[in-house]
Amino acid sequence: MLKKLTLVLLLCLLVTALGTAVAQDSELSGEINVYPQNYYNPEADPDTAAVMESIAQAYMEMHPGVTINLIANLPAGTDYNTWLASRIAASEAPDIAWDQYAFRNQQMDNWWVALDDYLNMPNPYIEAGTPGSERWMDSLPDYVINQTRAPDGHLYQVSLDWVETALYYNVDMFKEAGVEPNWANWGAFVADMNKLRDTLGVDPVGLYQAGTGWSSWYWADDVFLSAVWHDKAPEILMQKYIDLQPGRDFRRLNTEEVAKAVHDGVLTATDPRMDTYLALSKQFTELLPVDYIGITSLDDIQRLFLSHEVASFWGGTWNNKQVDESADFEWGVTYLPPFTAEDFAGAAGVSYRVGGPSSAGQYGIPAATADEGNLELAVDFLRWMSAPQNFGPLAATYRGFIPMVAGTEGGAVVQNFSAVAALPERLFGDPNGRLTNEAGDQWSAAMQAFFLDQTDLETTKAALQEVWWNGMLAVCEQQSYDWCS
Amino acid sequence: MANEIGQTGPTRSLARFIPGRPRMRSGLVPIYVPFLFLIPALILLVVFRYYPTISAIYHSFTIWDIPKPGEFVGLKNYQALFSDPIFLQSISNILKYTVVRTLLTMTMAIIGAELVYNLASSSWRNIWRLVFTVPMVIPSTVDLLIWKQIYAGRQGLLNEILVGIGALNRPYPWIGRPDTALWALVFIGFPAVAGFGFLIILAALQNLPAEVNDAALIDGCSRLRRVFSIDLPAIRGPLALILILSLNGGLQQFAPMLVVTQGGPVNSTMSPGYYLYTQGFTYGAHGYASAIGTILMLMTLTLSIFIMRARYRRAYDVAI
Repeated sequence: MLKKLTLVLLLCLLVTALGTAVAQDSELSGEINVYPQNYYNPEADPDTAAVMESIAQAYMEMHPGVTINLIANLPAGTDYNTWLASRIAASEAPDIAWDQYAFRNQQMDNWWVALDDYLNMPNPYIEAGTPGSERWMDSLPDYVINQTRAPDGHLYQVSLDWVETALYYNVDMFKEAGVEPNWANWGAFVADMNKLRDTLGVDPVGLYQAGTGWSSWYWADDVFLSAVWHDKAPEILMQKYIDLQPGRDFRRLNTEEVAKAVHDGVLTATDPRMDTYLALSKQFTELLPVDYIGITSLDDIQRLFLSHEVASFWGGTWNNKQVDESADFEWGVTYLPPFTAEDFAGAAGVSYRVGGPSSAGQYGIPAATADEGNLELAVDFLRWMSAPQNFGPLAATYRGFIPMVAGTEGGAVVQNFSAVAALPERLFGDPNGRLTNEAGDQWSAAMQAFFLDQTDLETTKAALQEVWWNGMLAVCEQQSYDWCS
Repeated sequence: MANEIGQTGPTRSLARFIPGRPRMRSGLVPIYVPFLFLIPALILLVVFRYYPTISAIYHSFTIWDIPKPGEFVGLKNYQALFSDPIFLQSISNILKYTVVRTLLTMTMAIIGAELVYNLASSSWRNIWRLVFTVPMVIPSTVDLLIWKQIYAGRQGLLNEILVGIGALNRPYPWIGRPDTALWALVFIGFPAVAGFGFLIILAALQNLPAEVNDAALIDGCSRLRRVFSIDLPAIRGPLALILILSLNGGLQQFAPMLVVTQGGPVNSTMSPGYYLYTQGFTYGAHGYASAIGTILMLMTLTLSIFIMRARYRRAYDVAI
């Protein structure tokens, strides 16, 4: 008996010693730099910044050997791409860095750490018994996870929030022109928008198309392309991705699906569907400001809306707060009408929402962080930040994006966008995320040439087909999918 | 012998060859001392100018996915470059942009400097010099943002004026149409009243020996004849400097395309500099971007050598 007791005691001591050793090994220490994008902008948004600081402070108090440095918000777009690329080259990038998932997924493991394994582990900061406590990934919806999956199948970021887009409109102007902000079909929408112009002398819709890089015209392009190609979705969606997201038989295509459809000849720009797509696109440009090609930022468009120069503008949830604070008129949120058979043969009778994880809560960890031995710390802080008790108040204070973490509330921002959020999602993502960034810019240039009557319908279709084909070849060169041969 | 050190003439050169003694210059300073003072500048020059240049030339022969080292591909980037329609269009765009802007800059700088040079009152000269200099202190990005607003469709100053006086029925998208966008960029900042060239030319004119001008006037030479026969030939050095700076600056132009037009519409304002930036930082093709940079460097180098040689052809400088 004594021997048994001694043995048990020895075992207990051994387990305790091992536990202590493990605890000591896992005791986090070090210093990391975190770039939370819009969630940390002390000058422009001190309230949200204070919440972010308190999250970091609480973490540092929990882990006394850890220092978290928050990097204030930087201009997005090409400026940020340059900033990030330079720091990646010098191994000086933030240890947790925001980036648009379309850009991140074009660099993949060249720049970023695949987070799949970590997402399959528990998140110790999430309350036991709630989604995510056993598997971090469960705290986020499947469609969010899968929409950000890279062409190589890995997940290089954690997406904590979501953005929806809609038409912000000037209620006073619409009333004055006798326009109701809901339309039976595309034709009715165009007629009403022209009525706004004729009655009030304003541009009906604010939207811009940039020569290179992202512009809000991308959203219109996504919707028109989705509207004309919707019937081909069953042929384009790949089984291996359907298996990952059962029940979502109409969803946004990922890069491999677009590339394979182009490769297999299912998706061709010379198809008659593209005639409809180009006609819709050109018709839409007639509702835009005269210099829609020339304006280079959504801020400029928002300014036109706030100064009564345009009756509506296509913006995102992030515009909600600023419009609310700055508009000196009554405003509302509406959306593009459904596309029906009256508009073109084969229309599905619905519109398509342009929402996605292109928001502020997209965080990845650069490969250099792992090389420097800070990976565990960076992942752990990301877990802490993504826990609902932390991310919920952060998103609620910012009021620009819809939090996706289980246990968080959308708040005021969701109320205006609930009708939009109920629409089917688009089949095509933005041109720069369909295949490659370069293909996106070439697509924009070809469409600009068409809008400005530099090219006719057939020439434009041929140019778009060349963009798709070359984009597919570039994707194949990078990924070497088995079907690429 | 020690007394001879620092003297001019043959004895000075003799002093330099005294065994065991450092070679000296006229100011009793060992000959290596000036070179010591140059070392910091040399280090900075090598690190921030020559190393990036050599690195870019090397990487132009690679496919370079940062942060990985480049993979050598020989002339592949150059072959692709010369069959890339956007790059070729960017070269055409930038040549038009540079030539017109340089002509405007130089012509108006010469006219302005000559007019001010011929003013009798020195206080008026100073006032005009100040007038031309003040715009130079405005940061170029601010300048570009102001001009972007000037060219805007609705709420754009140019359109407001033209519609206001009845020259246009409705606002015109100056930077939103391929036929006007490049020229809109050319006229940004009113290159015709560019202060830099004006100041250099004025300084060069003021350095001309007054006796030459006086003699010309006494001989009955008109002011206009004096400008072409005396002033301009005499300041070929400064003119060549302005020409080189203007052509080099123009060929490498990038900021107006980035801030005002983003290379559009339909690549009509794409410049090699902006295309380089896009290829490198948006598409991640750093090897290809390096090849564009190398071509740009060769273009500016060739032009500079050509101008410098032309500047000395049949030239006899009086000023600067």
